[in-house]
Amino acid sequence: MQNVLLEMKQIEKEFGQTKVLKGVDLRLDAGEVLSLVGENGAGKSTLMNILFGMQSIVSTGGYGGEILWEGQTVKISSPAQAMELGIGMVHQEFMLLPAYTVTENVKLNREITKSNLISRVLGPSMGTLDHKTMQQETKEALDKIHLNVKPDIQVGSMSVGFKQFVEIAREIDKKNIRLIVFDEPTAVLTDVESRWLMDTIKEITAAGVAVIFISHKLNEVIELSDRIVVLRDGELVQTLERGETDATGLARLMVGRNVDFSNIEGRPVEEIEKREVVMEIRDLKVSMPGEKAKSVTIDIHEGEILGFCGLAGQGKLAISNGIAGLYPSSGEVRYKGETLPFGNPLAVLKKKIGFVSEDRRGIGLLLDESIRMNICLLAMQIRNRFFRSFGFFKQVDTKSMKETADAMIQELGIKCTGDAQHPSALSGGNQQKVCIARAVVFSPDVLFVSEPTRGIDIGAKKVILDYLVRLNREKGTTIVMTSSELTELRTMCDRIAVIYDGKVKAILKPTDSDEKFGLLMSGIDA
Amino acid sequence: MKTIKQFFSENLVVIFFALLCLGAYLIAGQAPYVVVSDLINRVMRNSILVLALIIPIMAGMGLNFGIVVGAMSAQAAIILITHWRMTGMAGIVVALLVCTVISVICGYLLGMLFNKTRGQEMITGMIAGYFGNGIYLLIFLVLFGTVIPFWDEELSIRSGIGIKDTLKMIDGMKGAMDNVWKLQLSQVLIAVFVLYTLYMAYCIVKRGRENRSAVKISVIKWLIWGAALAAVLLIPSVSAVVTRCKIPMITLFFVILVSVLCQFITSTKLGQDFRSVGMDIGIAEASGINVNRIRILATIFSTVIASWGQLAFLQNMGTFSTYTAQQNVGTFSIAALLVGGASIDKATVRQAFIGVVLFQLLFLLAPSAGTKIFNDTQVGEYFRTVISNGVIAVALVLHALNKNRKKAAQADSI
Repeated sequence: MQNVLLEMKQIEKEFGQTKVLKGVDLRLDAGEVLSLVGENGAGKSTLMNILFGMQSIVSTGGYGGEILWEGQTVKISSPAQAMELGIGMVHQEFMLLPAYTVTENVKLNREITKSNLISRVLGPSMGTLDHKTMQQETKEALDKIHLNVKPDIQVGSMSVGFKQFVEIAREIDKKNIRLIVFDEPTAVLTDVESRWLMDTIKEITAAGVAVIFISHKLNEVIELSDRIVVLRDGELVQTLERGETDATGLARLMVGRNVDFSNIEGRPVEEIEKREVVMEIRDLKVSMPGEKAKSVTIDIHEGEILGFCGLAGQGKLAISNGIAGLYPSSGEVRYKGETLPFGNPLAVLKKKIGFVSEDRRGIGLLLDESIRMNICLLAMQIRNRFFRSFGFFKQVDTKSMKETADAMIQELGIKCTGDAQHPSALSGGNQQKVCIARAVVFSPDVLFVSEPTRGIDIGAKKVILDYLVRLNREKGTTIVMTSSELTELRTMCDRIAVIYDGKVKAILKPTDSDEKFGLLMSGIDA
Repeated sequence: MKTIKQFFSENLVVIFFALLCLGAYLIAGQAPYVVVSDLINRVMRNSILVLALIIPIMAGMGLNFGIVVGAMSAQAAIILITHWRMTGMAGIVVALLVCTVISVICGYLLGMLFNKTRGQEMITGMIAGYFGNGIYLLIFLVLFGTVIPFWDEELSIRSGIGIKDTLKMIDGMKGAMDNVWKLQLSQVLIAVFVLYTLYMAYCIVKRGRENRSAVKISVIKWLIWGAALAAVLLIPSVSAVVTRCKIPMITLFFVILVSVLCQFITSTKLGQDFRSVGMDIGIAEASGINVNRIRILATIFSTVIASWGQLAFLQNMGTFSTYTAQQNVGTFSIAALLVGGASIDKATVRQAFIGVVLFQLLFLLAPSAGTKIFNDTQVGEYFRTVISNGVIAVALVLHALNKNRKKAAQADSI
């Protein structure tokens, strides 16, 4: 029996109405590696934010359940407190200040000071910085992880991989460190760097420091972990000990929903691929921060429903955003034989290509205009609809706008007080319906839909998905849907492209197995 | 070649204003002595106000238009010591204490306000200045003599309610700090050179042995400065100016003290915290820095230094208009700092001084240059206002452009 370092019991957390953690248990011994595995939105990051006392948790009402640190119940309410206990975190987004040197970053808020006349009166925060000692200790920490850089160079000029290691050096440098959380550390690393990181982690644990490892790369998880905790939709699916499973088994556990294949809408792939190609995407690169598409090549066939699936950060969202002209892109996209210009949303819309953004409050809606205006705006701007013409003047035709809006409200079941209400007062699901209504009124030939069901309730989800399928079947609109919810893609799409590392990893049939999806999404060839 | 180009592009603003000053000087044709002594006077009384802006910029809060609040604290302190009939250095010291206390409280409140309006500190500061003005008016124009019992032959309005709108300091207060000890500019220059020589000798003795080329460079530097000083003292037309101009030593020490304080803070743990918060609030928070506390501290520092600055300014002037003297403090100081080459997210003590000198020089030359060209003093006055506000606008636009460019570069590199 080793000494238990950390125990989390029945952890629960809700944001507003949605419960993101539903009673998760976790136990970790000193010097052990525990891996957290699960799809995006499974609750891994929330769990770690709770452990780290992040503001996003504290300010939304804290958490339920109990955390035991070395057998003592603790209530962690700030990162400072977590650090005091000896918990360190290597963040997914770098917590490094690019204009600072390596030393300044490693010693951030733990600067060593020399006392002087003023600090003796006003306290240690007026102490002069002791650059020499800081430099020296940083060097020692860097040596420990075999990182050969000078401590006085600026972090901003370093490669992504090196930055990752500077973060690790910062945690190592903390004298009281007992546990380090790695939040998807290898997502941005090259293979060699990943290898190096794994060796480093093994060295760290050999020194008695425990590690919580969050990763989508299942091979690495299998290799490193003493224990694997699989989360799905905020629930603990299973805790596995070393050697109990392999990557395939893990993938099944991670994705494993029982898709009801009798409900599937998809049509045979062979038939779809015989249809005419409406859009050819060749080597598309989109620099959308955090979701970069590196080289996407795919054909979209007339009248199909194509799905893009993949984990967050792999670039699936960038494809439709890039084509819609919202982020700087390069490569080639040909639509019906003509090249589409990049960075010109108007030109894309004029070709009757619609886009429903994943950012419905930011890009999607005019929150302070009426629902009627929101629904009709695109059609007015692009198609010149809803105007009456009087010679040189044009007047907005409110009557026909109202008729259209009312029809859409009816059809999609938008719950509102009327077409004059502002969408800011609507629930997320109803806002999403307004976004879809707008794209439909503009009657596009190709419709890109990004994350149409993110953060909305089940009822609205069903209405939206059914409506999209109906739109496709009745009007023949080609639909390209990007979603993190594999299940919904599999129930409605004809073909599903798995996006990994900014590229199309494979194109699957909706009926392919859970393992296949799981492995491909983690970048393993199945 | 590249370094020269770089030098020009980095110091574009400074060079532009230096040329503008030169042009204005040539056109104005004022006597050198008048220009230099007036400039010394203006630099002495304005420097501290500009220094007050440095710490908030470091802490990522932009240009602190809220220093107006600090200025009002100083005015309140002067009203009080005038009422108490305190004069000379004693009056200055008491005024310093009083305005420090008031401005610490005001700075704390202002800092809390800034924390509630993160990201909009500049406009918040500006509005807080107007709002503070309202409270200031309420206290001294309405409450004094009604709710607060107050009567003073010299200060009160005849009706007994409120303070007169022009406040003349009692005899012995005007220039109380300036007049204690004055030295000729030439003497000050010689003293500075002696100190510089000693410092250099110390450096050479301490670490010169390992680094011979560094010794060479510093000796050459010393020779050049020495030659320049000798030239200034020996050329008759110039030496006449430097021997006639007087420097108020206590004020100079005060200015130096505040600059050393600003410089000192940057090298402390607190200064590092200011910088960390300034670069990225999220990261600072995640590394356990109490961001709100640090930002409040930065605001307090700024407000206190501003109140000292306004005190130095007003004792130099001797008279001020009770209700409007603070109004231009924010804009003028900010414009001066920006002329010195500072930006919204980077400012140093050096830039503050370069800025004060150039801005005040332009300020004092513009009216007579305007008169020469257009035969109209008003044009010069107009020119001053355009410059001070225009510089701020240009700096804000440049900052926005720079930020966009950086963002684009970042997006490319992802």
